[in-house]
Amino acid sequence: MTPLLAILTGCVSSPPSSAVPEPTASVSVVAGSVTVHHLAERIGAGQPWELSLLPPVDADPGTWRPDAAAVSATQAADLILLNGAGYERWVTTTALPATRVVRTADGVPPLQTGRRTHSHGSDGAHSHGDVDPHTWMDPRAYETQAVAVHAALSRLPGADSTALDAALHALRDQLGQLDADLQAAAPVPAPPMASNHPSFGHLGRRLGLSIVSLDIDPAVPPDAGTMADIHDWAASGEMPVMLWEAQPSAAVMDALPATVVHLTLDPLEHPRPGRGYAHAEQAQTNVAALRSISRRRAPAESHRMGAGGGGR
Amino acid sequence: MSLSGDAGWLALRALVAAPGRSLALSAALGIAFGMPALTLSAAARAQQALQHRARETPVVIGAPGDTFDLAFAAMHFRPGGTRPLPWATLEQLAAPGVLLAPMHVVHTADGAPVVGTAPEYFEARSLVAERGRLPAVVGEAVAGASAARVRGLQVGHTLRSDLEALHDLSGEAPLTLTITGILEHTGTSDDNALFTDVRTAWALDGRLHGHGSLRADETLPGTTRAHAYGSGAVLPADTRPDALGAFHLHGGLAEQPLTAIVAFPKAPRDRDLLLDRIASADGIRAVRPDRVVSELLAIGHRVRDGLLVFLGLVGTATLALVALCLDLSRRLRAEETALLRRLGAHPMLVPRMHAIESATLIGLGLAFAALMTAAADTALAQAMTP
Repeated sequence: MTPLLAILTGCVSSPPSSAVPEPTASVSVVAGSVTVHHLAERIGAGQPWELSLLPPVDADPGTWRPDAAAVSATQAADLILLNGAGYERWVTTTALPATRVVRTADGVPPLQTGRRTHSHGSDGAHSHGDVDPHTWMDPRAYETQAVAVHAALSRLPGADSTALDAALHALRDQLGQLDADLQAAAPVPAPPMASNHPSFGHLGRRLGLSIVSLDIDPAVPPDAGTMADIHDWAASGEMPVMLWEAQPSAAVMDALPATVVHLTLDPLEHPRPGRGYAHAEQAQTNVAALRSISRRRAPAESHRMGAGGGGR
Repeated sequence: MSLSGDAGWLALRALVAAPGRSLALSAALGIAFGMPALTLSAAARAQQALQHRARETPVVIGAPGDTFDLAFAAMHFRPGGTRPLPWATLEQLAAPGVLLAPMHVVHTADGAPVVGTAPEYFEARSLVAERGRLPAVVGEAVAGASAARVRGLQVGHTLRSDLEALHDLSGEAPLTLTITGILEHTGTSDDNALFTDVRTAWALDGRLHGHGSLRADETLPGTTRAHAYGSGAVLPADTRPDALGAFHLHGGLAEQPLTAIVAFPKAPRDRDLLLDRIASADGIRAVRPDRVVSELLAIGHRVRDGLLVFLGLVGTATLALVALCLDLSRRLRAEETALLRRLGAHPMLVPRMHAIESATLIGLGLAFAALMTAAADTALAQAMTP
């Protein structure tokens, strides 16, 4: 896809192949996640190298691991693009080339999500920080990753720098627009917000929203301990908004306080069923969802002036 | 019979009549002749082996410290003697014209050095698995040809890493390495080592590990997994695929330790650019093993030359002693040789007999020297080839 065509077609990428990359004599680029594959596909459109996605397109990055054949093939790649920030957990224990791996999120300020402390061996107690890897939720962070991808691709043999620059420029424009749309859609003043999974931290940081992660399964009503946390959070302000990665079940929604507004956002990790991955297009649904908070709030405000109360 | 024939027959009979003396004198001559040749041969072989490995290891990067330690640790996997440098250094030095291979040489398994590195090392040295494949995940290792042969290792075998401090129950746990491949024979130090990914080396350090993955049969009766881990006792680290998902690094990747980085520049210009960058950086230095080896060889050459002078003196003394022995022998047989003359023997018969006797002893000595040098050279070649 040429850069111009990408702009005209709304930058919808084709479904990434999930086949194990075969070592070839030509230049090969392997992406470790759908989001980075999308960047490489957009920026490297029309370039003479083979781009492949290592994990299956619907794989869970937290549990998926490549088999030995896939690792061997990946070791032979000219460039391995990863999201980084701990997203591809399999990388921690996989033998990859030392100098051909680019962690595109290295330029994004890390977002700590918590610390675990334990002890073993002779070192005494120590802590591990958890970092939110969902950097692509923030358009500016995703843009930083795009720049890293562009820099890596530009170093490959046979790279057409003019085309790469043009594609990056188009992508940055698009992400800039998405950022503006999200900023405009963000509720002001922000209501208490929580998420069922720590996927929206980078989005919240970009939009100035404080999003608490409550670790709730969308299909299973929370236990008593979690319910206590939910009640505490819901009581912290008017019209609390719960962000879901997937549509919660009716039982879960019924279990939560009635004042909670439920909002399902696309974590932008995978393409929609039956469609190719399209970051900007999928992110626009999030823009619309965020706008709906303000729309819900307006009637609520006017209703409160009359009778008070909230709803879902 | 001719005069020479008579003299030769008499000389031979004289040598055979005193076999002990003849053997001792020829052996003494052989050692006197052979030792300098053997010294030269051994020096040439050592020089060839060192220079070959050094030429194949263009640049070694490490923390400030002893130059020889750094170069030889990276070339021949001698653990210890080098200070660690962080992984971030490797990422900072990455450039299109240079292949950088991380090296972590600290641990051993069954006495063999465990070299933690990356796929770049195998590429740069053209190391390929004769059987099996290269390591793909933590816990896997590929064995050098000699390391495998000596230990009877085959693909699929496992090997436990050596404990550094047996008395320290809270020390790092040993790791079970699974052999995934056997490398082709190279005739270099690579044949003697076990290669893993650098992450496996960090797992051996204890910097990369998981938690709570003990099998039920690995705990003592009445204890739980929590008991086992809480005790701080040394336990075998679990690198089964289902346990690897919980592995994590202590600290960031950037700060993980390497003992050295081996750089393989594609062209002299790339090498010079790399060396310039390192020269202006703090906390790291680069050594060129060919120059380090040249320095070492210069010292070796001086030792060799001194040894040759010494051996020359010993050889001269040996020749003098042999000459004295032959003269003494001649004197002891003075009555017999006088009798020969009185019986009418040709006046040149006795001098010629003595000359042939001496020449035969020298010839035997040279043959002995040749045999000794050839045998020792073969033994040296075998000893120096991994």
